[in-house]
Amino acid sequence: MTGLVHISGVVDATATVGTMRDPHRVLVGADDRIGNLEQLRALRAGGCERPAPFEPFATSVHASPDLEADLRKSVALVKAGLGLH
Amino acid sequence: MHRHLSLEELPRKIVDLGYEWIELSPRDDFLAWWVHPRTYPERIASFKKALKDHGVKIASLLPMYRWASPHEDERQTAVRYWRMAVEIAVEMGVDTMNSEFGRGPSPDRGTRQTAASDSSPTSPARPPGATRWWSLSRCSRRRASSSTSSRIRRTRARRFTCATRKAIEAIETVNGVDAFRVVHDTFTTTTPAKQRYSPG
Repeated sequence: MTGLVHISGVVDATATVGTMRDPHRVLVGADDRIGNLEQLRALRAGGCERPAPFEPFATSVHASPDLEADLRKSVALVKAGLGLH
Repeated sequence: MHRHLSLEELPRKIVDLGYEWIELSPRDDFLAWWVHPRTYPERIASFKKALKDHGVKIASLLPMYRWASPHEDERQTAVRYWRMAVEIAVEMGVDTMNSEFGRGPSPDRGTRQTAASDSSPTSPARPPGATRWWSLSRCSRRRASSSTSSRIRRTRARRFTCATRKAIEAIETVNGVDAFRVVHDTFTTTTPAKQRYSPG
C-alpha cells in the first residue's frame, strides 16, 4: 500500500528522539543517525520499490552554495547503499 | 510552496522554475492549516485562470486537518473541512490528495484528553471510539522515552511497524485500499508525531 517514501537524514549528534524536529532534517549522508538505508532496504525487501523523494527541511540544506552537488552526492550514496547503479 | 506569491502569481513561478505540475500544500489564502478552507469562488476562478494561462496543472492538493483528534468536535470539524477540500479538488480538476494522519489534537486542547474526558476530567481516559488514537498514543510514548542513538536504532523496527500498520488499519477500515496510498517517511518513523512538525 506504500506509494512513496520520504527520506531525510539526521546528523546532529546532540539530537535525541525527543528533540528531533524538522530543522534537523538534512540530506541522507554516510553519517545518518536514523537509518534511512536500513528502512529503504527493509521496504524493498518487503516488495516496496517506490520513489523516494527527499524531505530535508534544515536551513543548512536550503542555504547550500551547491545544492545540486549535494543532491547528487546523496543520491549516489543512497543508490550505492541499495545496490543500485 | 512559494507562499509569498499570490495564487495568481504562482503559476508563472512554476513555469520559470521549469515545472508543469505542482503539489498545492497548505497556504493561508486557500487550504489553510487546520481551519476552514478559504477557497472563495472568485479566488478559485482566478487561480484556475492563472493555471490555465501558464499551462500549469495541480498534481495534488494537500489539506492538513485534525482528523486524528481524540476530541470528537475537533475530529468532526476536520472531516467537514476534508469534505470541502474534496469538493475543491474536484472543482480544480485534481484527482489526487495528500495528507497526514498523525496530528492528534490541537496543542491548545491538551494532549492526552479524550472527547469524554473533556466533559468529565475524572472519567476513565479510554472511551469507546478512541481505541485507535490511544493505540497511536502508546506508540508515541514509547518513542518519547528513548533518548540515545543506540535506543533509536534498537526501537526503530518497532516504530516502523507501528506507524505503517496504524495508517493501513485506518485505510482498511474505510475500505480505501484501492483509493489510498501510504507515504512512509523515514524521519517520522523515528520521531514522536507531536514534536516533529512546525507549520509553514
